[in-house]
Amino acid sequence: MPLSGWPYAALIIVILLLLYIIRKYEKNLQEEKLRNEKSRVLKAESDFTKTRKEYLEVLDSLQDGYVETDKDGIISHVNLPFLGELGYSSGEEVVGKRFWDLTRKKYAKDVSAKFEALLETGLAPERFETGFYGKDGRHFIGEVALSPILDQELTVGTKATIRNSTQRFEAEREMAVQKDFLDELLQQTPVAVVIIATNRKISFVNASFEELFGYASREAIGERLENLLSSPEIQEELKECSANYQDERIFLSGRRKTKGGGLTDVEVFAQRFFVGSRNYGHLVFYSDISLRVKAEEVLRMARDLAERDLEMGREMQSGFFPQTLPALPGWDVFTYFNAARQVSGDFYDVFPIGNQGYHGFVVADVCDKGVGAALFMVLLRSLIRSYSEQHQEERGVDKLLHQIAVKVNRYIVETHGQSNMFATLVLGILDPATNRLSYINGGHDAPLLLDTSGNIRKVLEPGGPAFGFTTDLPFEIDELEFLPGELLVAFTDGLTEAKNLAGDFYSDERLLKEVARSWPSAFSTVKHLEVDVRSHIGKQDQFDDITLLALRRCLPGETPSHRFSRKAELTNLPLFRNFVVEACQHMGVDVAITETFRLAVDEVCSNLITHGYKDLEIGEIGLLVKQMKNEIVVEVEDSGHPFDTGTVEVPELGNDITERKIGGLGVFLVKEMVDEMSYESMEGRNFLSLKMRC
Amino acid sequence: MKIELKDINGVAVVSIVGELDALSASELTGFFESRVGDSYINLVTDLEGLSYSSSAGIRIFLGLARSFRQKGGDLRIAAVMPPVEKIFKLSKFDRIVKVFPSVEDAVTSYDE
Repeated sequence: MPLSGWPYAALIIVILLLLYIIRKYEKNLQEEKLRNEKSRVLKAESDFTKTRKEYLEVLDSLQDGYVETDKDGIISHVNLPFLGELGYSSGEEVVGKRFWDLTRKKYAKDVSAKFEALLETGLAPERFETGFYGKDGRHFIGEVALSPILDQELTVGTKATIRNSTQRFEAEREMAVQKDFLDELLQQTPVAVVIIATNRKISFVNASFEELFGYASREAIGERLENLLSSPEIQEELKECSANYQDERIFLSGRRKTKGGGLTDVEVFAQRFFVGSRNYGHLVFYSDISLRVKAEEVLRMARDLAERDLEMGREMQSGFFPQTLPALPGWDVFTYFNAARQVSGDFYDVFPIGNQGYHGFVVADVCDKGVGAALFMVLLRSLIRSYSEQHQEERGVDKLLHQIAVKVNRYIVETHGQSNMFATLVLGILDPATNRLSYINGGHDAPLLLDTSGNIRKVLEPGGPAFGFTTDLPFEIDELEFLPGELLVAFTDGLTEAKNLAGDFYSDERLLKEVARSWPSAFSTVKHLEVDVRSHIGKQDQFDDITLLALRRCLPGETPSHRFSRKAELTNLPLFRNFVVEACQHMGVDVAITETFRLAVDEVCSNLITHGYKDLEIGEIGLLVKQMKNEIVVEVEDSGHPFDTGTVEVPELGNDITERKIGGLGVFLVKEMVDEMSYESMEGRNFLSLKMRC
Repeated sequence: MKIELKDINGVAVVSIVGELDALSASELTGFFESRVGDSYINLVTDLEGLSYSSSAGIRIFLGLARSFRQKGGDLRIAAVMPPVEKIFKLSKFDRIVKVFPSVEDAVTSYDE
């Protein structure tokens, strides 16, 4: 079929139209594409800026400093903290400078070298510390971590973080100073110091250790302490080496071997050594005490020697006291002497003069105490004795007494005037034929004469100066006559001035009160005052010698007897017991009987003390020991509840322990032991009489 | 009075030095209560240094003998001096407790 003309033209038009439309479309497409690309670039740019900003903000929020440089070390960025450290307010003040321009001059070369090395090798150097120098002289120590900024393996710059380490640096420096200080202290201390590590080997010794034991530090370290310091001569084990002392500290003194083989005296202190909770082994200190030990040894020897001398002196001096008192028929004498020190200045003497029955009595107190006083006492006593003998033929007691006193005094004043020694003394001569005592009191505490009821009849006041003062003053002689049963008490001021723990004196008042009783014997008076002053002194030291002398004229045909009384208290129990024993001994009673009375009196007094004064005011217990012809009698007197011991039932003494009663035994024993026992109660007083035949 | 406690082979050995009377008795009783107490079954008292005892001492020893026997042990006495021996005999206490010449004998007697 043939094609007609217009349909072709229409087809061409359509094609052209289509072409146009396509072209138009293509152009639009291209424009669109361009537009898109532009916006993507813009977006990327914006994202980058934003990220970079955030990045910088992050950098600024760090504590550490942050710096970026180019490959020449020229700073391109710094963060705020670093600016702050340096004292700059804006980055512009720093950007453009080289990194090492910010360090102190002496570090600059070193720091620039590190940059160069980094740029050459691309490898980050070790962290390093350097001093930075900022605005207005500001400076600090910083620890720098330097690393490369890479672009495709190419180093294009550096970045550095800087941590201010000034405080740490200073702390470290301070610690180093302290460590040096401690090291010096350990080295310079005179105490030898050893540290034993947990493996038991020595890890440290100081210079004093080297010096004390002779081992150099290098010889000691790694060794075991016991191998260095032990020796067969040291019997004990070395506690500081072997003991596994956990919490305990060891403190001891002993001997340790030195390198030279000798032994040295040391004080050892050892302790486990902790830092925090970690055990570092043991710390041992040795102090050299060899000099002290030697000095102590010398001192001890000197003291022993002095004590031996003193002891010998005491023994010799005691030879100047009468060993036994002379027997004086119709008279009763008893004395007490207690030295404050081993040698003393007090003394008493009783001695016969001539052949007319005269007896000399002396109680003296030499001024001062100790060896000098003792020597003077010995001189005085010998002078009195020898002048007594020399003048024994003198007619009349008074003349004799006068001669003795004047000569003794003159000798002391003229021969020993320079030593300024003196003594107060009472010198009396008794003539038993007349019962008269002539006496001179040379400045001494006045003796007391008591009548049979215990009243003071005469006070023997001083009638002359102390012996040794002067020859210019006379000695007045006085005399007294003893009536039957009268008793004279002489004493030294050691008695009245004896102090208790509170510092109170025994006192004249107490003496007057205690002595004012009816005494059956001189022994009773002296024992009572002795017990009383000892109970006053208690646990206090005795400061002065105490001397007592009692002289009593017996009653015609009297039975020798001794009396003692104390409060019915448990603390006095040993006193009752001891009094009976001493009284028996004084009277020469046989030992077995004495022992029996000791136990019997103890049992009786224990009962009285425990039960006798129940619900009553505590009274006294009195003991009377009498020596009859064929028996010894002990009477126990009290004023408590009447209680007849004889009525007590004998306790069951069977062999079965569970049946045995515990009470009543004491009374049973007394009944069993004594030969006779009787009881009487009258007018509120109870008397228990115990007898033993002899 | 001086009192000391020693442990010999698990036996309490108490040595008493001095004089024992109603006054010192409380000290001794206190010592047994505080230092010996219930720690031991067997007891020996060493009386070598005891120079004297009244019935107060016997009373203590009797009490000790009782309490130690109640718990299956005993009190045995060593080295008694004559004055104390006398009161032991008088009171017939020596029939109730065993007395030995020495501490060693008294301690080893517990092994038999």
